[in-house]
Amino acid sequence: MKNLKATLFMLLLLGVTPSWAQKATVNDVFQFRNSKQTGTIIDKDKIVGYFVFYFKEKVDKKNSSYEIEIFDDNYTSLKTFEIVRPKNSYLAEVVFNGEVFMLHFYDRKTGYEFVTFDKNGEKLGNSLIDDKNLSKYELQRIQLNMDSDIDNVSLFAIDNKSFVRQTFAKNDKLGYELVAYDNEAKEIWKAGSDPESREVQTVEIVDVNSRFITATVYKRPNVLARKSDVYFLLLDAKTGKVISERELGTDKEGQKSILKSFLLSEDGNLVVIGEFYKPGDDLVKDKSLGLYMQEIDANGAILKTVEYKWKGTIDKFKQANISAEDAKENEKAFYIYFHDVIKDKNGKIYLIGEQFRKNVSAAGVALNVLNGGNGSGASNFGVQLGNMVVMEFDSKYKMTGYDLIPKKKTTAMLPEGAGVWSPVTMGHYLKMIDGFDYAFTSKDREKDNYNIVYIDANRKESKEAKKSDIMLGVISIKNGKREQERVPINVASSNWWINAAKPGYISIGEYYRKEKKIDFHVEQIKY
Amino acid sequence: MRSTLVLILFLVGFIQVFWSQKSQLLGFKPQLNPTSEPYLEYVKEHTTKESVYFYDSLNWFDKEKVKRLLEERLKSKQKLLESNNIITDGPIYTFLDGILQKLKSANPDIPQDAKIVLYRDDSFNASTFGDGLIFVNLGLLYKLKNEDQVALVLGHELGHNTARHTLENLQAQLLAEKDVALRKEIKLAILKPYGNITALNDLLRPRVYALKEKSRMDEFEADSLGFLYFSRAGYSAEKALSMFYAMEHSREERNKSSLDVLKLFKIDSLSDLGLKYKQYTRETSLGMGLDTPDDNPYLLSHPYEKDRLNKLLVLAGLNKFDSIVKEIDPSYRFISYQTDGEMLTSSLMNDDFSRAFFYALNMANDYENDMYSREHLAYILSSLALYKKTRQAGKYLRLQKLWYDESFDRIVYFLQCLSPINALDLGRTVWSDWCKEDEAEQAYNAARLGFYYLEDQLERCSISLETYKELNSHVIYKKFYEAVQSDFIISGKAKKVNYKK
Repeated sequence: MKNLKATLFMLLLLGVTPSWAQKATVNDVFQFRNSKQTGTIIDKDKIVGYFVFYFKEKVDKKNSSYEIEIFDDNYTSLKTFEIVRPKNSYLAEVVFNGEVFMLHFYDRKTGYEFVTFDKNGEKLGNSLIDDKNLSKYELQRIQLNMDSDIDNVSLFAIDNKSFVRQTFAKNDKLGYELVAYDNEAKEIWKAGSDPESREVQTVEIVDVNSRFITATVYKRPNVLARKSDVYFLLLDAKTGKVISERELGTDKEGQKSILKSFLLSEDGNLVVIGEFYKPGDDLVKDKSLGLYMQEIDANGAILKTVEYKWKGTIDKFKQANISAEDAKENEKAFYIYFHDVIKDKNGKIYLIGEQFRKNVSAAGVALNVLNGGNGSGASNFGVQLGNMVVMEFDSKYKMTGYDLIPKKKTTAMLPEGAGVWSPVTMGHYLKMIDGFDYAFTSKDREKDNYNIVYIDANRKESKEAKKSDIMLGVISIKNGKREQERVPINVASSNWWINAAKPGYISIGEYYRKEKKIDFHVEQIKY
Repeated sequence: MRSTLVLILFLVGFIQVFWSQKSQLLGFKPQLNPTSEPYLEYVKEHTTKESVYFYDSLNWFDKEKVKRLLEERLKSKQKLLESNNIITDGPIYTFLDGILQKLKSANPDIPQDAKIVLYRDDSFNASTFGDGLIFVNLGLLYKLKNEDQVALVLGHELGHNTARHTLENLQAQLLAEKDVALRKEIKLAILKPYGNITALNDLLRPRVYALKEKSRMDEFEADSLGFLYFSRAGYSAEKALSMFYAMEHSREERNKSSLDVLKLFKIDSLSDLGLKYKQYTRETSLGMGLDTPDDNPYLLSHPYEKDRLNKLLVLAGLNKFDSIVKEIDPSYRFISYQTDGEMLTSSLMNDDFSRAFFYALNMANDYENDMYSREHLAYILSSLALYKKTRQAGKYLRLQKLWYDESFDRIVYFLQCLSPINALDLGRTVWSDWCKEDEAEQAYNAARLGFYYLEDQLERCSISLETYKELNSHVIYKKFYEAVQSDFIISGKAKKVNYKK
C-alpha cells in the first residue's frame, strides 16, 4: 500500500500541469523554519519581486537540496531552481542587484560561501572564505543572527554589476573590511582599516549607491573604551578608493554623528544627515543640540551645512496629533533613529524616524536579581520606543515640517553591557535585532509614491472595537502630499508574517503546517 | 399580393421566433440542487461490471488487489458526484442529454447506458472514468460555438469508453503493482536515507514517458471513434472541427475585445480610480519570461491540436480546413447564455470574485436586459467593499498573471484598484443605470446602510461575510436580498434566513 501510494504520488507529481491558482501557493514545503526563508527582491529601492527558499530533500549524508522559487511583484511564479547545499548550510542573506542574486551561506565547518545566480537560475560563480579566515567578531555576529533569527545585513548591491560586503578584519585588534564582488562572485576590490593601526576600528555602512559608499567609522583605543572618535568615510563604489575620511567633530568643537546619506541625483552631490553635540558633550549620555544636513561634492568637499536645533527650530512645529500626556513625555530626552530618507520628485526631503530612549528595564533587573548577579545576559537597561517621526525639508534644506505620529509605546530588551552604548550604536543594535516597530518603506520613484509601514501595538481601531490580528500604521507620501492611517489586517492561519510589497500594498505569508504549503496574498493598505 | 402576404407572414414568424428567443434568453436561474443518487447507483453498478471484466483471468490474490483498486476509484467518483459541483438538471443538462441520446440512437453498437454529468469547472475539458459516465465542464461549453462541436466532444468521450482506455490504464497500473522488481526498486528508493525524491524520479521517469505516449495514442483512437459516431448521427464536420482551434486557444477569453470598465461604469477617466486604471501594465517587474514546463512534448497527455485536426480531416475527406467558426450559432445562443450564468455562479461558489465579476460583466454586456448578472455585479461590489474595508480582499481576488488573457487581466487589475468606497459607489451605478429607478435607489441604500452600519457599530475586523448578510437581511431590499440569499445557499456555508417584509 505504501509503495502504491508512493507510486501514485510520483506519477501525479511528474504528470502535473500548472494550475491557475487564485493566490500564490507554494506546495510541498516539507520544512519551513521561519519567515526569513521568504523575502523581497529589491532593485533601485523598488520591490520588484519575492523569493521563497525551502528544503526539498536530503541528497546524501552531507548535502541537502533546496528549492528557490522566484516571483514577480504580482506573485507570478517566474522561476524555480534547485540548489544543493551542505546540510548544515545556513542561508544568511539574499541580495538582488537588478541582474544577479547573491546568496550568502554559512556553514560551521567550512565557513562562508557567496554564490551568484542569474535570473534564470544559472550559477555564475562562487567565492569561499574558510572558517579559519573569518574574524572572531564576524563569527560572533553570524552566530547571534542564527540563534535569534535576525536578518544579516552585511551585503549591499552597488549597481547591477557588483556587490559590497561589510565585515571585520582578521587582525589581533578589531578592524573592519569592505569587500566588493562582481556578478561572478569574484573579489574586485577590498578596503579597510589599517592592519598596523593601534586602535580598534569598526565600520557601519550608511548607504551604498552606484557612485559612493558612505560609512561611519568608530575608532577607540580598545574594545572596552567608552568613548570613540567618529569618522565619516566616503569611498568610490567602483574602485574602493577612499575619497575622504574626516573626523565628525572633536570634543572642543562638539561631536557629530552621521545617521543617513543619499544622492541628490544620479550624478549630483551627496547629502549626509546627522546630529550635532555641544562642545565637551558625550555621544553616549548627552542629548544632541539638534540635527544637521551637509551637502558634499564628489571629492568629499563640504559645500553647505544647515543646522536645526531642537530648541529654536524644531520645537516651533506644534504637535497637533499627539495627546497632552504624550507631549509631556516628549519633553524628556528621546533619541531618533532614522529609518529612511525619501526625496520626492519636487526635491522635497522627508526623514522617517522613530523615537527611542534608554530606561531602566524592570525585566532586566529582575532577571539579574534572580540570577544572583551571575549574569543573565540581560541588561538593567531597556529601550522604550516612542512615536514615529516625519521631518520635511524643502530643496534648499529649510525645515518645513516636523510631525510626531502616535503609536503605542513598546519596550525592547538590551543585552548586558548596553548601558554604555551611544544612542547611535543602540539604534543600530535595535535595527539589527528588528526591535523597532518600523517595518519597511516601499518606494516608487516613477510614480512619486512612498509608503512607510510600521506596526502599532494598539490593535484596536477604537476603544470598543475588538482587536484585529495585526494593526499597521501607514504614512503615505504621494505627489508631495502626506497622509497617515491605521490599517487592521486579518489572517486565517496562526503562522503568518509580513513582507514588504509595492507601494500601497502589503504581502502576507501564511504557512499551513498540515497541508505543507505556503499561501501568499497581497492586501491593499492604502486606497 | 401573394408575395406581400408571404413576406408579412415571414416577418410575423421571424418576430415571434425572435421574441420567443429573446424572452427565453432572459431570466437565468442557477441549477443548485443536484440529484446525485441515480449517478451514485450507476457508478456502483459499473464498478461491479468492471470487476467482472478483470476477474475472469485472475487468481484470488490479484482479485483482492483489483477489488481495492476499483474501490478506491469508486470512492473518488462518489466524492465528485456528492459535491455541490455537479449539475444534473436544467436547460444545459437537457441540451447535452439530447445530443447524447442522438449519438446513442445513431450508434446502436455502443453501450446505451451512457450518462452525462455537467461539472462546475472553468477549464476547457470533458472527461470519463470509462464507465459510461461523461463529465462535461462548464468551461468547455463556454468556449464552444455550436451543437456540432459539443457532439464531437461527446463522441470522443464515448470513443474512450468503447475502446476501454480507462480499463486498460487500470490494467497497466495493476501490472505495475505486480511487477516485483519495480516494487523492490521503489522500496529501495523510498528507504534510501538520501536523495529519495531524485531516485524515484529517475526510476519512474521512463514509465511516465511511456504512459504519456500511450495516453496520446488513446486520444487519437478516441478521436477517430468519436468522429465515426458523430458522423453517423448526422453532425457536420465543417461546423465541428474548429473546436480544435478553440482548444488550442483555450487560454484566451471568448470575448477578445477588452471590456472598457471606465465606460461601462461611467468612471471619470481623470478621477483617482480612472487615472490608476489607466496605469495598467502587463510587464513583470523582474523582466523574466515565464516557465513553460508543459512544453516538453513527451510529458503531454494529449497530442497537439493540429495533429488531431489533420487526422480527422483525412477521415472527413476534407483537403484543408479554413472555416474557423467565430460566431456563436443562433441555436446555441440560449445554451451559451445559460452557461454564462452557471460560470458566474460557480465562480462565486469558489469565492473567486475576479472571475465572477468578469463573467457577470461579460454577461451584462452581451445581454441587455439580463438581471442575474446585474444583481450579481451589485452583490460582488458591495461584498468587495466589505472585504476591502477589513483587508481580506486578497483572499477573494486574483493577482495579475502574465498568462491571463489581457481582457481578464485588466479586470483583475481593476478590482485591485478599487477602494471600499469605489466598490460601493460602483454598486450604485449598476443599480441606477441598469435597473428600475426606485428599485435601484432602495437597493443602493440598503447596501450603503449595511456598509456604514457595519463600519460604525461592529468590530469591523472580525466580521465575516455571512454575518454581514445576516445582519443586513432586514434592511436589504428584497430582490437584492434574494440574490444574496441564493448565494448563501450556493456557498452552503450559511443558514437560510427568511426574508421579512
